[in-house]
Amino acid sequence: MTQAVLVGTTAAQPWRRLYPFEGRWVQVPAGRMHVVDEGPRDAPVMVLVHGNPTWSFYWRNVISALRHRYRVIAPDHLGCGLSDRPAHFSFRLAEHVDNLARVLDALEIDSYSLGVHDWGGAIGAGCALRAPERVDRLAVFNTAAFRSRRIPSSIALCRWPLFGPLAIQGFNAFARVALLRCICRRERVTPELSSGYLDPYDGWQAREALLRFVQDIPMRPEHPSWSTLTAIDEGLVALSGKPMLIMWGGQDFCFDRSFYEEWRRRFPQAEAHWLADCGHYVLEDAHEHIVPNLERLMERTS
Amino acid sequence: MSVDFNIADRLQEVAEQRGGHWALADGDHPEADRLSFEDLDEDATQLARGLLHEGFEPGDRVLVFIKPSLDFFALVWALFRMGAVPIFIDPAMGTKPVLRAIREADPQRVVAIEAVLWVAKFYPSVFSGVKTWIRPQSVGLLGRSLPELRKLGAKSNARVRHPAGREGLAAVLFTSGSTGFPKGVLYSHGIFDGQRAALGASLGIQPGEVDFSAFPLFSCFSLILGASVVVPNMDTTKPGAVDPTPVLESIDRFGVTYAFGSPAFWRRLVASRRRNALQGLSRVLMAGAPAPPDLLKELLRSISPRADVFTPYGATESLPVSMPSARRYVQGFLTRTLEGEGTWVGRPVEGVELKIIPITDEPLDEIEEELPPNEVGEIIVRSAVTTPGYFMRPVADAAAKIHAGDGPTWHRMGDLGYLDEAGHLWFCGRKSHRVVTRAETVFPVQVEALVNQHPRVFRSALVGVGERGRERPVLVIECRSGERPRGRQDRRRLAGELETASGRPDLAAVLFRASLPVDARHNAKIRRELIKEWAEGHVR
Repeated sequence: MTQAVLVGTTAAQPWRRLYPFEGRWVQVPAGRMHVVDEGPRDAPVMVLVHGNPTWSFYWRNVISALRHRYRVIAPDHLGCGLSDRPAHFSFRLAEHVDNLARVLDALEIDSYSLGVHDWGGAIGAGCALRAPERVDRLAVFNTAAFRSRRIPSSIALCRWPLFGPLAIQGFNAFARVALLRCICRRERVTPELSSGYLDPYDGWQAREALLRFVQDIPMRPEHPSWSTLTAIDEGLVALSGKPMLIMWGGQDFCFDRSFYEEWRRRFPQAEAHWLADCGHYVLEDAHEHIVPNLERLMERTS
Repeated sequence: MSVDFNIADRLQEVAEQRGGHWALADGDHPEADRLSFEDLDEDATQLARGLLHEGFEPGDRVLVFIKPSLDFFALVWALFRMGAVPIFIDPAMGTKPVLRAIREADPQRVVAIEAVLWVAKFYPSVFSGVKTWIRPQSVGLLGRSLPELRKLGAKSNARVRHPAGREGLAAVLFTSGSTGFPKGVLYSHGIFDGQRAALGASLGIQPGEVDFSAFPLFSCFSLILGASVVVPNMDTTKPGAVDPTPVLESIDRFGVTYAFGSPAFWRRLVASRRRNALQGLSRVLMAGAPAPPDLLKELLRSISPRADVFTPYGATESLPVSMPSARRYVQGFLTRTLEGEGTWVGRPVEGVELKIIPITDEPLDEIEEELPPNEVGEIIVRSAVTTPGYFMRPVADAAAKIHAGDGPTWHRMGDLGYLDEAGHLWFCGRKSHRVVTRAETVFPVQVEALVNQHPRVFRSALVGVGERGRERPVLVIECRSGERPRGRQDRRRLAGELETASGRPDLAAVLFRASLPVDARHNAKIRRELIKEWAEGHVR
């Protein structure tokens, strides 16, 4: 039995109005994962994989728009969003990949299109590479699925032994600062929206995953997740040739132009949009631009 | 349902009507053969075939960086016709902003003078998406040349016309905003057609007229209005350094009936001894920067009494909004400008809806309130020439566009002004330049108009120092040459006179500078954001 610390369901939940989804639960070894599963059962599937410090809430505008024609699946990684806060879990990249694969198996997803953001890029790609032939299309938003030496000093700072836990877990600094720095359209950062990003991470225990994600960025070969990421990096070529959309917020201080160029270098046939004045949470700034393009992507076959 | 349309159809129509009449003459080679409308139309088709052969596809973004020339016009019409999207970037923005704009435009093809192709080698990441390089001349090393494309095109008789539709993207024009960040303005085939109609109607351009323009893109509209175009024999990127003699010779030789340039361009021309060549013009057009009244007066004295000077008001995002006549301005409305009431820009041209709304820096989803006459607010417009948005800049779209109810999108000009009881628009400066004190909002152009009348003042800028909402107005002065204050006493006396002239007892300071920073392109737009920064350091 896992220790289920389900957060965000008891408070007032002002974000619920923005996130009108029931969600379902998938049991994985370390706990229960919360998964949004909307749209017709037999429709083509789109799987949306979030990063850190977000959760399926980040995809809500895409889910709302696509669920009329597609089955849209958006899990919360273990320790994130509405999923359990497990007491015994490694929080390593390989484990997150395993869990995502388990979710797809549990929901009996045969083939799917994949949308990834932030650290969801490595997790989603890791899962996709287990059976590349099952992946129909790719949509990539401000993310990486390859090794890089670049890390902003503010994020490197959060990896420090004492400072990191205090800032991220103690003061929820990571999620709060992200909310300030990742959305350029400030007028959109309403109390409702902020509650969506912050409520699930209310409390020291609830925020463990946020810190663990930051600590799990492998910068050196000795790091436990280095080999996982290396395998994804080197395997990524298996996804080339699929219809692909790269949409990038140009004001991202972490996943900057060099990551965008790297995606384009690896997938030269992909359609790429550099949205110069949008932030890391590019969907918050530009879902009106992105959703129609995703709909077009879903209509493409090859 | 979108109706089939391509702006290049207009060229074909003109070619059918005007046939062998000359469309283009080269100002640099006045003795050379002129190109007829028929030939231009045929050349555009042939070139389009060559481009298709070379792999260009409808929808491709094509960076165009060639000098105004017969080739330039043929190429632009070829691209429109085959549905490719030319990217135009003002080279006068400076190297860094130009590279930024190219990176943002992310072109798939480049047609550029060979120097640009070599520069590109040093910035591979800026040009990473480019698949094809084309240079205009046969001589050269990189890529294919336009003459080669013509040869390839001649071998084919493929259909080249792309059914773009009125909403179809036709071009992206990069302009540098007041912030210095270049933004790409999206032009559809329908908007270009709207501009053709609006410029034709508001200026009364007739087939058979002759155009000389320092803004080459403007001349594309002249062609589809049936007017002939003289390719300007000048460096259009440096209008303030133009040699007036050859330009005036061209105006005379080709029988030019209307000419278009920036204030800096016209200042050079009216200063020339040969300015009597201007007598042949029926219209002078001036845009790109505020038109100084003394220049307007000088120009009006230099042209025929039946001719007039027009200073179109608008922006790349929506042009034209109005077409004020300098004669009417100088003979009447100017007095009110000098009294600090703002710059008269006349009534909106036919087909332009215009409203004045309360000033805000926030994005707007709807128009909540419209201000009554004589109240200063934000100027918003919509018409057949209002562009739908910017290239890949959703946040800028949100700040500049209002999608209110039915009908086309409103564009927020970023300008302040008011409508008087007669429906005339009065411009009161850029929204970002307004000064917000504890007591009120101050509109710099109104104050500067008063101060600039002082005989020792060349130009001035009113800026606010301190926090927004608690700003203190500061007046920064550039004196006429030889009129700078001499010594502390003179300075104090002049400052006192200017403070009185400004009518603002709340001035925090009057500062003097040898020169005020202006934009690189026109040498005329005062860069208030830089002056503000400078003033912050000089006022306690």
